Amino acid sequence: MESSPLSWRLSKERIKPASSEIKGVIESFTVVYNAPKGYENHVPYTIALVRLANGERATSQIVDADRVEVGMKVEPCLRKVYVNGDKGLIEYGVKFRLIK
Amino acid sequence: MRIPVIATSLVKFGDLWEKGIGDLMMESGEMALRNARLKPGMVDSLHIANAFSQEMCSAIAYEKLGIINSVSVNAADASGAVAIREASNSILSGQSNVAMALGVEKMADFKSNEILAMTSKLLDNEEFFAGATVQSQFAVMTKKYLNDFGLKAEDLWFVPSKNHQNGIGNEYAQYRFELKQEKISSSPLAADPIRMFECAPYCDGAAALIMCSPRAARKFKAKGYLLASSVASGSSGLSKRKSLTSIESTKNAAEQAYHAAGIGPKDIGLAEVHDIVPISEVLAIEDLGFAKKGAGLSYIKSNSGKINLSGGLKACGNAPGATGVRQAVDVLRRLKSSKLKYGLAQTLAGTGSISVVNIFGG
Repeated sequence: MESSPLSWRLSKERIKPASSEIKGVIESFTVVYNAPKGYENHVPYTIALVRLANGERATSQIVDADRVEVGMKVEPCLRKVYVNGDKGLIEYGVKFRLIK
Repeated sequence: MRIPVIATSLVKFGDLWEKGIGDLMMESGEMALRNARLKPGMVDSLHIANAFSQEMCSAIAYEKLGIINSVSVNAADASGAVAIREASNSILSGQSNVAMALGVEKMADFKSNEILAMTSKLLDNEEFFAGATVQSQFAVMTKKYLNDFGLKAEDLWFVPSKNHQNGIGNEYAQYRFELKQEKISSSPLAADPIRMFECAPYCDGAAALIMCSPRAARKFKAKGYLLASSVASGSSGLSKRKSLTSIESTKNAAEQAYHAAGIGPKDIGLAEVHDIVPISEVLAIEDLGFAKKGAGLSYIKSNSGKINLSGGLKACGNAPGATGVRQAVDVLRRLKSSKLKYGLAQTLAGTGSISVVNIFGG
């Protein structure tokens, strides 16, 4: 088994760009101003329902976008979601960004 | 089925700082018992609905009401409505002659961001992880609805405004004042395009009703009848739903309930529906068969004396565990004081992961 630092170094080459299968289009969205506990620091943030190219749907935050509209094309990216607990464990997850 | 309802009770909804959950159970439970002239020992089964504020409600009910056979029901905002169904099932099975459904909730002790975190757990994991709330997912549905049917966000402000107008006459409602549409426009956004004053507030409250078997009905005076009680599940997340402008679980529950009661949407004289945000009332009207898709709002406008006469969740406040029972009590009391034959109560959990439709006859 690879050690953690080695995995980390190798991962740079292993991460492939998102396949076209999981790129998608924004079907509907909202901008959240009144956030649940743990998400207050992100306000305002955009949550969208994304129709993926493979026909499935995903609900996710849209990041790095000044303006979001229905029909915009998006792709997944790995982002920080929140900091869990007092020890500051960071939870990462998939969010979507606009395809330029 | 035609199950006699022999007692109803309501505690005024609100931020009831001076009352604990046991006090609320005792107040509503004892009021219902007195109403039917029953002793606690005569209740064969108690179904306690509570969504967020208390574990082991049965023990508290035993201590406060002296009822031995009780079970807790948790189906989020639909808990109260499900408790009515469970009580009716207990009677139909022959296990109980007398069954009580009691809904109780304490939400005022929580901060608003805590409530948002609690209620967002009702959503799909994917939505919860994205920081979604029940309101934000309804906002996603609202945007799609407005887009599909050529409406503007402000068109929906009629719904909460009408419900507040109705709530003025309801002594059990938390907010008995007019809410002008201009006031809604000046409130901050909760989740675009839904504004804060369009969202039903969470509060404390309790309500109860007692039913009996048709055989035992001779001993009591019926206040009305439960004719059908249907619960249907749907996806908790929007991603897995066929449509964003319809709540499938409400459609299914309504279809089953109408079938069981042997009536149709045209026979319903008044309805209490789940107006946690305006779009949920509009979709309910359409999915219950009162209006065609896209025509829900105009139906509400021309039937404001029929839908949510209590003021709905918006003016009454939403005490999740109690709301379903509160709606039922409201429908029964209004049927009793009018010549209308049939009334309906529709309740959702989350954004429609569960729908309950209860139909009552006067």
